[in-house]
This record gives sequence, structure tokens and C-alpha cells, in this order.
Amino acid sequence: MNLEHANHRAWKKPLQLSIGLMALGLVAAIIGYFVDGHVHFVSSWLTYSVFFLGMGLAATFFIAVHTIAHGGWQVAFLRVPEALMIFVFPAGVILLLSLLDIHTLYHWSHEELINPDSEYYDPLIAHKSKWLNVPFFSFRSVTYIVLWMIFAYWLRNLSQKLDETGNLRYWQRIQFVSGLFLAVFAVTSTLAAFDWVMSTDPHWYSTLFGWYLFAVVWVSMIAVIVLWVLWLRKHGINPHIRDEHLHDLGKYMFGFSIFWAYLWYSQYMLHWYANIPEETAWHLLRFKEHRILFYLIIVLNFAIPFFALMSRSAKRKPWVLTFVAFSILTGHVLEMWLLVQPSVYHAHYLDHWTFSIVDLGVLSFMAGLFIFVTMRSLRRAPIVPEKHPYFKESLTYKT
Amino acid sequence: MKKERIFQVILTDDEHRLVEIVKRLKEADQPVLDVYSPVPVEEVEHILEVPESRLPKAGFWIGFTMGAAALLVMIWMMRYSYPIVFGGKPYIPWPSFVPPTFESTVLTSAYGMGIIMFIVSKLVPMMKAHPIDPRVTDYMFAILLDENADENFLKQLANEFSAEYKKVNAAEDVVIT
Repeated sequence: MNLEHANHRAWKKPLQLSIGLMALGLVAAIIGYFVDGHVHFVSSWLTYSVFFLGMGLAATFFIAVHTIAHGGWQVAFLRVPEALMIFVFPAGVILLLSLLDIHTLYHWSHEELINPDSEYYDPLIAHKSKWLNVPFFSFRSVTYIVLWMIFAYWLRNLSQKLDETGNLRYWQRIQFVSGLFLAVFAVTSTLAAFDWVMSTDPHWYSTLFGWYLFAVVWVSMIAVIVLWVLWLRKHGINPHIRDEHLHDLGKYMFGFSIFWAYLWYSQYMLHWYANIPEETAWHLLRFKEHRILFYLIIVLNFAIPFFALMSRSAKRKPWVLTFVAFSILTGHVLEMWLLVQPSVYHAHYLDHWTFSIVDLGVLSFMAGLFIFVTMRSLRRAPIVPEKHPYFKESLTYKT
Repeated sequence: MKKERIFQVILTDDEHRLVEIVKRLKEADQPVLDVYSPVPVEEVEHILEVPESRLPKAGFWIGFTMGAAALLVMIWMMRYSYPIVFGGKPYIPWPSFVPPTFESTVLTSAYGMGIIMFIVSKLVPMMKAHPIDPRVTDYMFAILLDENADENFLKQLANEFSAEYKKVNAAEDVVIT
């Protein structure tokens, strides 16, 4: 195996950055626990572990969908999504740990809500209790995460074997596993979004919520890939990355920002138009309490990528791509906050809380861990899969 | 009858050869006027240093203007011309304006670019086509050169790539600049 790139001195910076972020984040999270309280602390862990777990899952989906579609362009930077995919392991464990405090996060988990004799009896939640009950919920959560871990490990392992031997039998197996993963992903991604994020407000429902959350994590994952790819190219660690790759990644960011806006609007418009109280309550809470954030995420996630990446030359300029990638990542972090936390504090009869130190702490810890894990797995494998059947295509294709 | 003049043409049926021939012509500084091809061959544009097309920009600005116009018309109609409350919605219910605005943006931008293409390529209804060679509309790639290009060099080049060389009489404005 050719691991020369692992000794490049440029790796020092992300290592320092990740360790710094993790240490600072942990300190800030602990301070935040005492400043903001237990509920905010736990819901922060839920918010960001779902976000980063989703990005790992989206990276697995990226590999699977390009394998199934016989895409060749991504092979020159295939190691980046492969490395991001590994983050399913730590993020899954952190998410399961934060789900241990289920009664703080999900108010449907309280037994008295579904007990007809109790004074807190809630017929709507009791109606949903066949799906939303603690044993079945725990079983589902563990199942999703274990399934995703198995597929991430499996795809990574097969890819490394393909790289070592060049035997195309492994390529066929990767295709088979990818197809299997897509079938599993189609069901689990939607249900996981329903379970972990939508059920923080169990009275509210939106059938497209699974795709909506998928759009969030998918476009964020593309932004992370862009940042890594630009970094690897800047330091000459991966010399095979060309302008064409940047152009296609730019198209991805552009297109899926619009996709996100489309889903956001589809959900909002139908609820706004029908004007049914049980649907609008969810939007109303966010609109009333966090109006600036409500509009800000549309600017960061749609308007900026849409206008900045429209022209062909902008998609090939590293600084434009970096700017848009950071805009998208900021936007979607705030968006995740807006999806989860208002529901949680509302269920605790709190009127308001804001993005505060505990959020920053947990977020920077997760981001540091994300950088650390990605970097570690990037260094442990050859930077380009030279024996991948589409490797040559990736070096010569034109957009 | 339009004014005619003589052009030199190299014809080939293979796009890789086309690229090679154009490269050689460019190296020899021969006056390549235009390349006709039944399928787009992007490399030729790069070799001939054809400036980037302004069509996407035109498409954007047409779409932007017409989308904004559609939005303003809707606001004017719903708020000022005939204000009416329906379904308890405000006079300017912006979420329901988004789909029509989007549709008119896409429609006008697509039609606008199509019409601009017609104008640029001088295509009007009932016009008869005068291709340099009838096979260009089917499978042949044609490189159009000025009369004063080096004839011997062109013949030799055509021979080398088993391409066809000929001189044609064509209308002066056959070249779109």
C-alpha cells in the first residue's frame, strides 16, 4: 500500500484543529450544562449527533448511488466520502448515549400520557403509541445504527480489498452491497428522521420529513467533501483532483441547495395553505420565537448558493466553493437546531431558549471528532483507489 | 442572389480526427473560419479559443426580469387592482406566488434562449438551408477555411487523416461570427 501521503506535514494543522475543537468543545459543553441546564444539554447532543450521523450516512449513500449508477467521476476523491462514512460509528454511539435520556427528549415516552385513567391522558399520543413506545423505539434506533455501521464497514472493507488485489470480483461485490444498502437506506433514513427528529413534537407530522432531513444532511455532506477535496488539492496530497471534479461538486451543491429549498417550501406551503392548527403549530412556534433564524436559514442554504454558484466559472473557483460550503454548513447547523430544539423546550413548558454556549460546545466537539476521524481514515488508506475500474475515467472525463 | 465566394473545406466523419486536424491547423496558423458538426465536440471550441457563450447570461437575465415582472403583476392584481380576501389569507399571500413566479421564470428563460438561438443562427420560418455539404447534417464534420489558406498544406493534411478536401462556393455570410 502506498501510504506516503500520510506523512505529509500539512496533516498537522487539521490534527491540531480537531484536538483543539474537541477540548474546547468539551469544556464549553460542561460549562453549558451548568449555565443552560440539563434539558438543553441533552437536546444539543441529540441535534448534532443526528446531524453528523446523517452526514456519515449520506456519504455511504453517495458511494452506493454512484456505484449503482456506474458513475466514474468521483473515483479520484472516493477516499473522502469513504472516510466520512466511518463517522457513522462514533456518531451512532453518541446518539445512542444521548437517547438514553429518552424522557427528557421525547415527551411521548411518559407512560401517563397513554394511560386512559391518568389526568395527563393524551388521546393523540395514545393513538400513536403502537409506533412510539419506548421498547420499540429503542429497538428501531439500535437497528438503524447497527445496519448503517455494518454497511459502512462492509463497503470500506471491500474497497480496501479491491485496492490491494485489483480483483474485479470485489467490484461486483461492492455493487451488490451498494444495491442492498440503497434498499435499506430508503426505509431506514425516512423512519429514522421520523423517530429521532419529528417525534420531538409527537402531535405534528409531515410525510416528507424524511426526505427533508435527508436533503439537509446530504447537501452538508457535499459541502464537507468540497472542503476536504479543496484542502487535499491545495497541499498537493491528492494531485489527481482537477477543475472538472470541482465543477461537478459545485453543481452538486448548487442543485441540492435548490432541492432543499424545494422540500422546505413544499412542506411550508402546504401547511400554510391548508391552515390546519395541528400542522401550523410547528411552524408558528419557530416563526414566532426565532424569526431571524427562520429567514436566515433560507438565505444561507438557498439564496447564497443559488446566486453564487450559478455561473460556470464560479463553480471552478476554490474561494467561491469554500465560501458557499461554509454558508451551507452554517445554515444547516442552524437548521438542525431549529428542527429539534424548539420542540424540546416547548414540551418542557419553556417559552424560549436560544443558540447558546452548550450548543457551541457540543457542536465544536462533534466537529472536532468529525475532522479527527475523517483525517485518520484518510491517512490509513492510499489517497486514490488506483485499481478501481473507473479510476482512469475519473482522471480524463470532461464536463 | 447573395454574394458568393470560395471557401476551402475539410470533411471527416470521425470526431477524434476532427480534433487532431483542427489542432494541426491551429498550430500552422491557418485561418479556420468555422467548424460544422452534427454532434457537439467541446474540445474544438477550446482549441479554436471560441469565447464562452453569452447565452446562459441572457437566459438568466430574461428569466430574472420576466419572473420579477410576473411577481409584480400578481402583487398588483391581488393587492391593488382587485383586492379580495379569500381563505383568510393576506392580500399578498407570497407563498402562493412562488409556483407561478418559478414557472414564468423557467418558461420565459427557456423560450428566450430558444428565440435568441434562432436569431443568432439566422433561422426564420420558411427559410431554406444551404449547408456547406449535405452530409454535414448527417454524419460529417466540416472545417471551413478561408480561400487564402495554404492549399497544399490542407490537401496534405486531409490526405494524412484520410479526410476529404474540396473547394465550395457559398454565400458570404455562411460564417456566423
